[in-house]
Amino acid sequence: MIMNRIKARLGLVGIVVLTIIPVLIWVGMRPLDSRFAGFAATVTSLGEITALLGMSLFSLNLVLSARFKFMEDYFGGLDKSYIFHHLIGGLTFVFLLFHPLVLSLKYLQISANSAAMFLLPGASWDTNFGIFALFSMMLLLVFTFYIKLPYQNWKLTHKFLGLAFAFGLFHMFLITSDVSGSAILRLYMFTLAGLGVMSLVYRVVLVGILVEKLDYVIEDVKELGDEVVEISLKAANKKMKFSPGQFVFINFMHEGVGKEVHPFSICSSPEEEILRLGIKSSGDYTSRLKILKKGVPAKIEGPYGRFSHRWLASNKQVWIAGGIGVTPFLSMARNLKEADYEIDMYYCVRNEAEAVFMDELMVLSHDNKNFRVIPCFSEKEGRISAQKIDESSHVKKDGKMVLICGPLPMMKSLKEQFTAMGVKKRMIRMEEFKLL
Amino acid sequence: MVRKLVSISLFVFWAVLVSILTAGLVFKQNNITGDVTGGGNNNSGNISGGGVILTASEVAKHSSANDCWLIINNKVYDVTNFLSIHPGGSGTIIPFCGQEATAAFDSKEKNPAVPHSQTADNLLNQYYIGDFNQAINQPGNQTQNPPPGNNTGTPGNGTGTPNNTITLTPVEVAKHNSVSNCWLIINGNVYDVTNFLNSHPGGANTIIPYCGQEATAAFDSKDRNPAQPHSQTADALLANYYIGMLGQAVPPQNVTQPPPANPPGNTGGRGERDDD
Repeated sequence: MIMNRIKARLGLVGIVVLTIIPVLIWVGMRPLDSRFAGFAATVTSLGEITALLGMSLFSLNLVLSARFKFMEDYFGGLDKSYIFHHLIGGLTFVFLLFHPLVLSLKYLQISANSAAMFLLPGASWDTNFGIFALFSMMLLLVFTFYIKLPYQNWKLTHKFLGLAFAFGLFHMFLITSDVSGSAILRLYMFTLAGLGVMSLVYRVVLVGILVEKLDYVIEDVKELGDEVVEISLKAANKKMKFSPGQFVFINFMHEGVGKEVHPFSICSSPEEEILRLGIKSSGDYTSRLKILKKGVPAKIEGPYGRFSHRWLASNKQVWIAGGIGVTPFLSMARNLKEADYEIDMYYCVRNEAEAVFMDELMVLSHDNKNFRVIPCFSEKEGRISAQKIDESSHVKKDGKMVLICGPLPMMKSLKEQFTAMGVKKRMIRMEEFKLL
Repeated sequence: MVRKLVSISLFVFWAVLVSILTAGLVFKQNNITGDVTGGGNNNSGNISGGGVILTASEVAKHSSANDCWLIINNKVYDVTNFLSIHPGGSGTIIPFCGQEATAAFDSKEKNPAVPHSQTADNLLNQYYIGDFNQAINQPGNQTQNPPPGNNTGTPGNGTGTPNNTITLTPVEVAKHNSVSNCWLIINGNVYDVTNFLNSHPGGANTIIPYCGQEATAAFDSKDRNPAQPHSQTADALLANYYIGMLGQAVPPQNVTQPPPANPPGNTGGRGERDDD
């Protein structure tokens, strides 16, 4: 267990180390005093450092975005790696914004005009590419940070960041700098960038050929309540092997619904012949899913996720499901044959009408005396609190692990409440549904 | 939280960018066609207007790191304020101060020749004084602001023929013989390495014994037997401290005055770090 926890940190450590290495090489190239002797030297150095950090992080972020399965263990799950991707993306952008800005200050010593000329595109392609890279990045990231687009459209804008990266590469290649002047620094930066490019090509260009997707066919589409649809699929050939609690990326070959790829948690047990997905209509795509019918083919990629009752330090667990966050727990509950788990599951929704899986959970609980299901309806009893859960389940006293999956504000709030009560952070595991 | 950081950075970026573009494009200065717009461009108190002809001997008077003119393609440029910003380093330009520099500029002294970029050409124009062998142009075409942080004494006097000068005789050099004021004579050139002592990879103590004196042999051999020459990087670094040639008269601005009879040998350096 400890090995897994250490392993889960290694991804981030690796990124930090790989980003710092070029800065260390740069520091070793000349006496540090000469780098910061005077205004011109200092801003030049800052300009160089921001470029090294920005380009390294950009390259590594591309690798992260390719969602290589083998990397999941090093980040503690794909949902976590996407959180890092978002954070690193923001940092990359900030560093690259300051890079030309800081360098332009050098030219202020001459005149404001020369500083302006430095920042504008002109006849020099070495700097032009840099300007194109930064401004294309800025334009595209508006859709990630500020303007909300339909998911599929947003995804396209995000993929075009690869173009911004390419411009940045041309810039790094043509510009006279410490990178061009040092063989080892050049080798390092272009190797990292090469890894980034390969990851991009793998995930965006060659996805049809290189990424393994399994063929499935819809068996049944059931509407549960007003907002939830349960889709059952059968494997056409190879069956997906997964652990309870994991999720997959799926796209349906259906014109009306659209062929876009989306992630959903599997709510069936791995032993079942049928693969089940429980989906809530929360956006334009998910609202269309109810028109799917038996016989529609689909492609599934996965499984991903490190959220499962099987991989925890303790078999005494508390599961807290908020709304559609119940889906991974369904898979786990349906797989809970062994008597050596002691589970208290809190199924939290607004009202009874929303508790679409309650019947099934009650049956499972009835069959297993170590599996307790406690419904909580926020409209009646108010929001669930860590206090109430601890009173009923003795989380702290019995050293129980807590698994939470639901709306982000709910998960964050519960985690804070539990840690305030003295429950250790490593005893709480959350699954982030929203990958964006 | 990421979004907040991005928003703040974007705000700063655009604020600075717009400021620079406004200041740089609206209040345009240093236009090559001599069209001087905006206010206050007259660099008064400088060369008496129009009277000086940019002959070779006139240009040759401006041949040091503190006062550096170049002749490139029959135009004369005062690049004094540019030396510290030159991407290729000041050491590549300084040897050409006061002289014809077209070939060097067009080739960056490389073989095969490496020409300068358009950006560089545009930058160079900012330093245009006048045409070779013609009278100096309007004073407004000269560099406007002395670079911040440089202790140029009289305002606007980065380029003029200096009135008081110091002649770099061996006697004069010998006055600068302490750790707080250290000049060296290397290959007929005089360098003020006071501010370099603490950065010297070989330690301050290897240099201090030579302050105020001839140091060519020591520099060329690192005082080792067999001789160990300094690297090209070191040569380039050294050039940053160039004051003038032995025997030359230089303006006193950037020359630190020797303190009254301070006993040398007080290390104050970074410690006894030996060369590798």
